[in-house]
Amino acid sequence: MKKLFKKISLKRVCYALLSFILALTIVAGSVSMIIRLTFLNKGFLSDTLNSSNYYSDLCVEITDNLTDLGDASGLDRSFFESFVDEVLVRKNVQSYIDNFYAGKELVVSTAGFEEELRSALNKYIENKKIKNVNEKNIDYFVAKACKIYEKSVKITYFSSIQKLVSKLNTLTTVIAIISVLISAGIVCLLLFTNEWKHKSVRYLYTSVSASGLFLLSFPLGVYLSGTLGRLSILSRSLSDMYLSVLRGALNDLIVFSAVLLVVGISLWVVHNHLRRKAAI
Amino acid sequence: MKKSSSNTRSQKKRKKLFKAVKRFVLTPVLVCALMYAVIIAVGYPMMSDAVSIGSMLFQNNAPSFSREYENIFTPSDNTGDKVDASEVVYPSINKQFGKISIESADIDAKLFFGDGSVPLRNGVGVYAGSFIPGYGRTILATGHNNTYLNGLKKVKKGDIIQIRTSYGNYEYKIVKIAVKKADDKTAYDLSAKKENLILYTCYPFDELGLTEYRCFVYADKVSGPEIVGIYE
Repeated sequence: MKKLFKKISLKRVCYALLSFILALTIVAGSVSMIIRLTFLNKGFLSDTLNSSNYYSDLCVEITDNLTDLGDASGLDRSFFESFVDEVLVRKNVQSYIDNFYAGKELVVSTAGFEEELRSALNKYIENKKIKNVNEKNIDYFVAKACKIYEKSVKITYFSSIQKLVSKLNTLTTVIAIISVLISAGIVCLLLFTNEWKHKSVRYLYTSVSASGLFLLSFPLGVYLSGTLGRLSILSRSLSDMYLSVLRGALNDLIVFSAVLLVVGISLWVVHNHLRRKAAI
Repeated sequence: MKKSSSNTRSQKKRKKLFKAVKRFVLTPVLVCALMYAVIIAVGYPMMSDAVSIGSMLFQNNAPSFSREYENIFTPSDNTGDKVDASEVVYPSINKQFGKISIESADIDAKLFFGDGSVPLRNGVGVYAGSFIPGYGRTILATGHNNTYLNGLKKVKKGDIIQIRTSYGNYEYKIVKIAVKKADDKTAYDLSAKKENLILYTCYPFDELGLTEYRCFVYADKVSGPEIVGIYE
């Protein structure tokens, strides 16, 4: 009797441990997948920027900064009012993102912007009939304006995390594959080594629903604590962008956890059905 | 007899329900908590790094993107020689704390603490590394030459610059006007022990583009309350 009890409890411990490891691998796999689908996905970032106010906010910020420079350079405040071309900004930002994901040098081409600025300046000088223009002062002004434009198009933190992206790409792929393999192995072990199928399904239910709860608790915690609103970025456009990206990732986590919880509930229903069948 | 059997049945029902709840709710929650414990235990060595990165990325309050400024200036009629430091509210960056005017040059502008984009867009800014009036030291202030300080081209030696603050009104007499290179560090002395005002703007006036020269206007204090009890 004692021997039997020992045998049963050891078996239970083994199944519980396997169930726990399964929950951990499901979480690891899900998180890797979400990172790949969001932060490491160029399409996700581009879509997020297009659907947020990023470009319009960025154009307003560039205009404000250029107007300040114009104040220091003898230009009317109206000069930059409708100067910043959103199409050009979009093109430059997209090219910056392409370089970021391709692991290329993060440079912003200001050639188009400089050309437009010089042409607008020439028109302004012509219209205002300004004589004795010092070319050196104009060149200095244009160089400063290009610097402002370049700094605005560059996305903060991207240059520091670029190397991390390629490493994370490999790491998440490896983790996702290993997680799938381990999970499949554990599921097989649970299903085929237990003579009571309803018990195997109950272990599966525990793993799946625990991982679902785990994945759900993180975004809920972040949303409820209001942490996102305190992101330490002082540019409205950048803050909008990072918030949209983070919200996108957190929402994906919620969707993943919802799917896991639904699967978990289905497993519970199957477990009850099998248990009743076994009792008969 | 009937009562006791119904009691046993309800007890059995309750036990069954508890077992179901335990399996359906408590076990997954417990496993979830255990996962957190394991992850925290494994990630403990990296925890301090994560916390410091987190505190760098997030601040205590929501950031403000407003380009508006706060005004702490209320006109004062203090004509005394002294004002206690406890009565002076030292302004923080981008706050309007006074007004500056030069009658002879048609200059009448708001005076801000700090010389970033907000002050220069709205008036004249005092460099935050210098002092505000009343402290007996150098006040270094700037503004754009085509907006608020365009009138500086008209000033001459002996003209009076007035600064009004919430704790007193000050007058400074222009003693020197000079044009120097923008990067000339000898153009101002922030460690001077007497109260003096240095106003500067881009030079030449009304020039298109960014220039490398600045017009410096030096003025000495004529009147206004001295701030006392600073170190008490």
